[in-house]
This record gives sequence, C-alpha cells and structure tokens, in this order.
Amino acid sequence: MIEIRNLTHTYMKGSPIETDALDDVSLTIQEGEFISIVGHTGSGKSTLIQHINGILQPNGGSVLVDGYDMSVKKQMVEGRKRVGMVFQYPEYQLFEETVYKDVAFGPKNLKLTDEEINARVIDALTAVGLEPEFFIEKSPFELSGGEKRRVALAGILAMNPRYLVLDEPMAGLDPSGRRNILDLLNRIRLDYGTTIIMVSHSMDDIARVSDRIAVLYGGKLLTVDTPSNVFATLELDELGLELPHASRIAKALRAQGIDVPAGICRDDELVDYLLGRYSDD
Amino acid sequence: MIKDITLGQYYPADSAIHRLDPRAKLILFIEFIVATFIVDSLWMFIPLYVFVVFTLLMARIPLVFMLRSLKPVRWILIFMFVINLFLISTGDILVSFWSVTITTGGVRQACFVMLRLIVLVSGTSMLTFTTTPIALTDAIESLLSPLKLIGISPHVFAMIMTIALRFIPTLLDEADKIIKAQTSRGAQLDTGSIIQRIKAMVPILVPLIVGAFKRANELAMAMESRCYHGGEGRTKLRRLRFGWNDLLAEAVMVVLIAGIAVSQGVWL
Repeated sequence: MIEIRNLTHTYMKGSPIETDALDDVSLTIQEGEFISIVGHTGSGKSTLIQHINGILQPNGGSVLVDGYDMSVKKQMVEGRKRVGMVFQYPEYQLFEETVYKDVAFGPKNLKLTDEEINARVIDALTAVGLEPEFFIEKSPFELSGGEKRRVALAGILAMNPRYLVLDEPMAGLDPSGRRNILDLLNRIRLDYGTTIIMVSHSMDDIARVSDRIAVLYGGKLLTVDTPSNVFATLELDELGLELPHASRIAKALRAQGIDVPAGICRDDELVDYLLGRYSDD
Repeated sequence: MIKDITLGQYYPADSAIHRLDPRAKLILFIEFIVATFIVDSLWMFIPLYVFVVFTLLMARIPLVFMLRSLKPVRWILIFMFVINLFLISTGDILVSFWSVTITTGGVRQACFVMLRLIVLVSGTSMLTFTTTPIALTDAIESLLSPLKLIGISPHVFAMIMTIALRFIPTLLDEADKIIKAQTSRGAQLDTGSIIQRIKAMVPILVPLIVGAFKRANELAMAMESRCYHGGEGRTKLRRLRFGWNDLLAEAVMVVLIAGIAVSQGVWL
C-alpha cells in the first residue's frame, strides 16, 4: 500500500520564481490496483509520482511505501526497491552495449547472484514480448523505437517491483505500439499482481484499463474515483482535459434525446448498451 | 542541486545597468579585469569592492544572489588561500609548528589572492547577471567584426556561442532526467571509491552524449530548413546603440583605473 499524506511540494523555494507544484495531496493506493493520474501540463503529475520513489522530497506531508517513510534515507532505500519507475521516453536511458547488459543493470545494482540476474533478464524480456534469444546480444541502439521502449521497460521489470510507476508510457508510439504497451501493463498486473500507477493523457486508454483515476488540477487533487464516476461527474474540458471517445459519443446521443447512462466510458460498454437497447426493437 | 548555481545566470530586472549597450558592458568588464590585475596592495581592493557593490545596487540585484554565485568556486578560493598561506615565507614568522610556518607575507599574499579571485568572479557575475546571453554574443560578434579583414567570420563564433549557451539548460535538464532514471534503477552515484564513482558516470554519460548528437543533428536540419546559410547578408532584430549613458559608464571606469594606478604610483 502506498500512502500519500498531505503532500506539498514547492519548486525553487525562497526564490522569485517559487512555484507550488503540489498542494496538500492525500491519496492511498491499494495493492494490485491500476490507478491512472490525469491532469493538464503543469498540474503536478510528474512531481507527484517522483515522490513515490523518493527522487523528490516533500516540503510538507509524507509518502509511505509499504510503511517505509520515503523521506527517511534508510527507509527510502528499502522503499525504493519496491517501486519501479518508468520515466517519459525511457528509451533515452539505455546505455549498455547489449540488451542483456542493459536489462541486467538494475538487478546487478540489487546485488543479486548471476543465475538470479540471468533468470530475471530472460523473464523480463519475455514479459515485454521480446524473444530473449533473438534480442539479448543486440545493441539497444539498433532497435526500433517501440522495441527500445520495451527494453527500457524490461530493465525496470527485472527489478521485480511491486509498484510500477509509469510517466506517459505510450507517448510518441504508433497505435499498435500503444496497444502493445497497454496490453503488456495489463498482463503484468494480472500475472504478477503488480500495482500500476500510470500518468497518461490518453483518456481512451485510461478508461479501458484503470480501476481508479486521480485528477490533478493546479497541484491539487480534485478527485479519485472509478472511470465511470470521473467521466460522468467532472467537467473535464474546463480542466484542459477531454472525455474518452465513448463518453463523447454517449454525450452527443444524450443531446439528441437518446438516453445513454452518463457512466459509460468504454467502447465495448457503449456498444453493449446500445445493442441491448435496440436489438429487441 | 545543479540548478542552485547562479554563476553565469541572467537576473532579469529593469535598471540603468541592464540597459547599457552590451558592447559597453563587455569593454567595461575587460577594463575591470585589467583594474584587478594592476592592484598590488590590499587597500586598493576597497575601491573595486565599492564599485561592485555600487553597480549591484544600481542593477537592483540582491546581495544574496551575488554571494550564491561565489558558492561553486568556494573550494578553489579555500585551496588558493591555504596554498599561499603555507608556501610563502617572506616577512616575520607568526606561527610555527611541526614543519609548517605561517608568516606575515603568507597571510598578506593569501588574503590578496582571495580578494582578487572574489572580485574577479563578482565582476564576471555582474556582467552575466545584467546581460542576456543573446546580447552578449551580439556584442562579441560586433566587437570581433574587424576579424573579417583577415578572413575570419565573427558570426560563426557568435553562432557557436549562442548555440552552446542555448543548450546548457537543455543538457542540464536532460542530465537531471537521466540521473533520476538511473538512480531509480539502483545506480549509486554518490557512494564508493573514486574508481567506482567514475564507473557510475557511464550510465549517465552515454545516454547524454547520444542525445546531444541527436539534438545537434536535428538542430542543423531545422536551421537549414529555415534557410540558414551563415552570416552573409543577415540583418539584426535588435540593433546595438552606443549612447551617452554608455560613454558615462566608460568614463567612470577610466577614472577608477586611473585612480588606482595613480595612487599606487604615489604610494610606491
């Protein structure tokens, strides 16, 4: 469980360009859930997730990962092992000569045995859908964009995190690449019970996979709720966000006098509802 | 962190100093450096420090900001102080223990070197605090224009400098990101022996250099697609004008240097 209590963070404190990035944010993330964090640019999403593994330290409040206080150095080391952090465009952190060595970097830093490292690398590459025999001896720099990103993701998975934090993991990928990553995250969560915390702008993707959505606005947490409730109740356009495809269609239908429930936010839900309603007529 | 360094930073404000012609400021800066090097007694630093504080007030820059610009050079300052203190053995002996002796000459020289370094750094900071990097490169280009006569293009120099300055914050950001990413993969950057620490830099430097090359490539293409072809026939958005206030500033500086030179001549 990750407990974020009254978290406040200010950049450049005490200088003329001081800015409040986070203001009194409290959020509890349960084990095994898929939670998405949304908000327009500068709403504090990245700042929030960087507190989860102690890269940023709070100016107020606290972050507890499985009870380890991330602002206490010794506890942070323990907490950090549980949190895998996938930054934006993670392929830019690849540096080794071979895919194998790069994925092994994290496990090596955990001081695991060679056999254990080997097993983890093979597992992680398989999990991200890259055939180990084919890829381990390749240079990460000769792969395609989507493959590079999956190698970077494998590098984090090889550390066996219980919480996987991702900052816009699908940014800059083509539609099939996006779908790949999203399916992959879903599978990781089902197979390993990993908790997934994802920052994203793609409401369709979010509606499809999230248990809950946390909405940030101007450094404040507006709400945390299920996708249906968030998309039904919040005026997202006013927050600089948009509704998922299905919700927009449902809204347009409602405007035409066709009664579609406000909670519908996934394509399949909408199709099922409309089929159920009109197939008998 | 990296972002706390104010050395070389621009401090936005609207003041008489900020408004001076950047060429005038660059010349003033060179004259100021000359002044610090002709000073050869501790007392003569007083007018220089008064000058720095005076311009600081005129430019409306908080003193704290200036002090912070000295922070990154503090180890050099301490090192120079200690070296001079122990190695110079002229004058009377003040303290002597084991094989170390501290003499009045050493103390004098140590203070002297430190005061000179501080005033040099402050002078440089004064220039960068009050002049945007763009204005500064424009000034350099303008002042170096005589080089055209011998076939060297000052525009190329200026462009290289502009690009380098432009990309410092970008690369710092990038380094910051990569450091964060590798730290969260368990990289230990601030512990271990020197060899271990140097090795720990590899996961940071490789992605940083790869990224820098990529950026350079993209920038070159972006410039060419906007028809950049060197300085030939290019006009300027901001034209530099040398005015009365610039002349006045120059006059103040000349008086300062002359004053220092004369009074030292008198005291020698």
